Amino acid sequence: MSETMFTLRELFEVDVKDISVRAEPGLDIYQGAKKAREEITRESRAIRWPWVRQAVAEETQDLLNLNVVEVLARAWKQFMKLEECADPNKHGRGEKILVPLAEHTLNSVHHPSVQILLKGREVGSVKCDLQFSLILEGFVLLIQDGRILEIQAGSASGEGSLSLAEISLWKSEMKPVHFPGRISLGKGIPLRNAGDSH
Amino acid sequence: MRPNHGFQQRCVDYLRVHAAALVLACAWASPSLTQQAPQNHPPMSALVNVPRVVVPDVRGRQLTEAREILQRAGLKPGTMSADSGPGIVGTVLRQEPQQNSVVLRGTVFNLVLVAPSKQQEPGDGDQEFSRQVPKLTGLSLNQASNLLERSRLELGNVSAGPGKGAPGTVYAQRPQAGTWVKTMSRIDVEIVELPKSPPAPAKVPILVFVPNLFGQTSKGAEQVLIEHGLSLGSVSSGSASVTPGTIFRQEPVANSRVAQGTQVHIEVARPPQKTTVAVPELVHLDVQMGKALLAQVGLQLGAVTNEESESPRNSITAQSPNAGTQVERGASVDLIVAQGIPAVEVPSLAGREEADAQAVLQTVGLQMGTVSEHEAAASSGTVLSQRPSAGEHVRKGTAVDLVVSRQIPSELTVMIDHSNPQKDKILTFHSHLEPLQRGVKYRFTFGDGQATNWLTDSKAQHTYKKAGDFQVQAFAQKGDTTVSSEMVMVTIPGSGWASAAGLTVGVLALGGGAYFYHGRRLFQKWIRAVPKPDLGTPHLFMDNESLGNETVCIRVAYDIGEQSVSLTPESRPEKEGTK
Repeated sequence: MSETMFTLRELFEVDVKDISVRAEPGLDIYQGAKKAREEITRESRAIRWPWVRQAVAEETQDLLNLNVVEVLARAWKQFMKLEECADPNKHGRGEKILVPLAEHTLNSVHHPSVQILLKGREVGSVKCDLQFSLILEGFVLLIQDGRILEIQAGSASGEGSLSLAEISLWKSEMKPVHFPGRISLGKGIPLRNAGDSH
Repeated sequence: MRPNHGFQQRCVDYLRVHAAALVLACAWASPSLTQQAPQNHPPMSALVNVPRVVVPDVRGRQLTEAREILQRAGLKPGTMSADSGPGIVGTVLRQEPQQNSVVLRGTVFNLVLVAPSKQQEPGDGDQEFSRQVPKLTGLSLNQASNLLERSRLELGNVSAGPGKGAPGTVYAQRPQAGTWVKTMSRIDVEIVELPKSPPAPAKVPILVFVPNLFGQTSKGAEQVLIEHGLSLGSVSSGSASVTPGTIFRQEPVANSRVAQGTQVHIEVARPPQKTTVAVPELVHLDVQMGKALLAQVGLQLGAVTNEESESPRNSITAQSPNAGTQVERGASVDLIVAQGIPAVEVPSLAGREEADAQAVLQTVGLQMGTVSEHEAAASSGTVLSQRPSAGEHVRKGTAVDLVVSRQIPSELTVMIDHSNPQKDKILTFHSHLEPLQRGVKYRFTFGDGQATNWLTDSKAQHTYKKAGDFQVQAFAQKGDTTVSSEMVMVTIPGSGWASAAGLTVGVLALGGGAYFYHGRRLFQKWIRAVPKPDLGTPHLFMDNESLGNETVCIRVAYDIGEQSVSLTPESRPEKEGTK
């Protein structure tokens, strides 16, 4: 896991307050939430559903705290044929490799959920649909010892949306943004998974 | 004077029917009245001792009538003949002795009747079938004869039989009416025979005494009459001061002698009219119907009093005297009539205290109905809704059901939305009041000596300048009521905190104080958030001594998602792939 956090919320500069406001009424009709409500009402004499509902709605804000860097790294590893950069026979230890990425579009679809547990048992789950796409241009990766250590940023544009069932919680477009400087990934993201034989 | 044999024959037939004229017909054979007259006078020697009479004038009279008149005058019937002359055929044309002459009693009188006139002798003239036989049925013989004469026909044979019609009238003719015959043809007729008067048997009536029926009933009287050989006649009723139903008059009267079988008519005393009547049941009837009923039984409508009642409008709710009471005919019956209950407009009670609402209801004549509680933010006992609704018109005395508030505790929670609070970092604190209310002001104390003013916003930002544990508390104020949250601890780590823990409190959920605005109840519970190893998972703990520990955990679960990458067209040569 990258230590560098660059969330979707920060990338799209989302006002998350609107998300919880939109989510809260939707929870009353969402089947998973209704199930949780019934369970809580039946099994808890002290906890009231409105408290939980509000807490769940506010938690939907956190669904946008998805670390975009991790998503990018996973996609690049998968699709950009970066494996040779991790070949120690071709690149000696400590050699820094700069890999410029062609302009490309990344689409990512997620289904994060907010789980509700009563006395440690899951009584309901609110599953949302999150998707975003980024058009990335001018990105350069710094790879060393089989790890992506740094992203020398270019410019990006794109769009994203979050919805709960039929209720749209968030949807916005991002105009081309230039990322100045570089994004350090700390220890770096390994290009090969732990089980790889290379 | 030449005798007329045809006419003679008709007279024979006629006299055969009229027995009284039969004797006269026998004398018809004498050639002349004048020749017979001297023989009718009594001898002169006897004139002195015989009373004399004046001969009445019977000219123009019918034969029978003339005979009776002359006989009453003391004359004796003689011969009868016919001659043409003015007058109705068959009536007396002349008489002998002449009218007004003085003759001896017992003198024979002779009569000459008017004979049918003959315009044409038979045998000469028209022999064609030029005459139509007229209808003769229903006519007397004289009328039939006259009609035939005017028709230039002759009366033929006359016979009598048991035909239909008045005696002496024609009931059949031959030839039939309408038949064309020759002039002076003879038309035979049949007349209804005179009723035979059989010799009346000598009746010797049995006379009986009429019994006295006074005081008896009609039934008993009938039996008595039968025993006496009498029968009961008509029975009528009348007023009498005797026992009703008994006989007070009879006809024939008692002890009179009447023929056996005579009907005795009686009159029975009518029952006296009642002077008292029973008051009918009038309650629940419409007043007009009650009035009609009173009139029907002979009572009068007395005083009518209107009264508010739940009974239908204009219905009788009470009466005096009561039903069944015997009163004099014509007495008055007082009534109480329902006028319905006046409608009352239901006042608006929403927002009033329960006791206040009850007072208002009593003021307008309504009653407090059921009172149910409903959880609400309003003060306990405050009327939330009512039924019937305000503004409705209901009958006086209607119960109004109320729903009053049972105020749920106002609970204030303070939270921090930073999972990794650090020194010199702006932290945002949120407070949440449950249930939500409008017009609430919030205040935060941050535990480092800093506090906010009363804010209209429920969140505030604060920056800690140093590491340490700080107790944060939020306050909510509405009007003169203030609710405070539980104090929550915020730990601002030192320099090594972030790397060491990597985790911190994501959300501190906090206690809530419970407070009823009017202090009717005290409810305490608090929610606290505690850090957990799994970052970003806030735990809400409910600690309540009476309810035990209950925990609701809300956890966000991310997934790695599915990614795809596509190169833009300009980058196609370097296209690496898509998924």
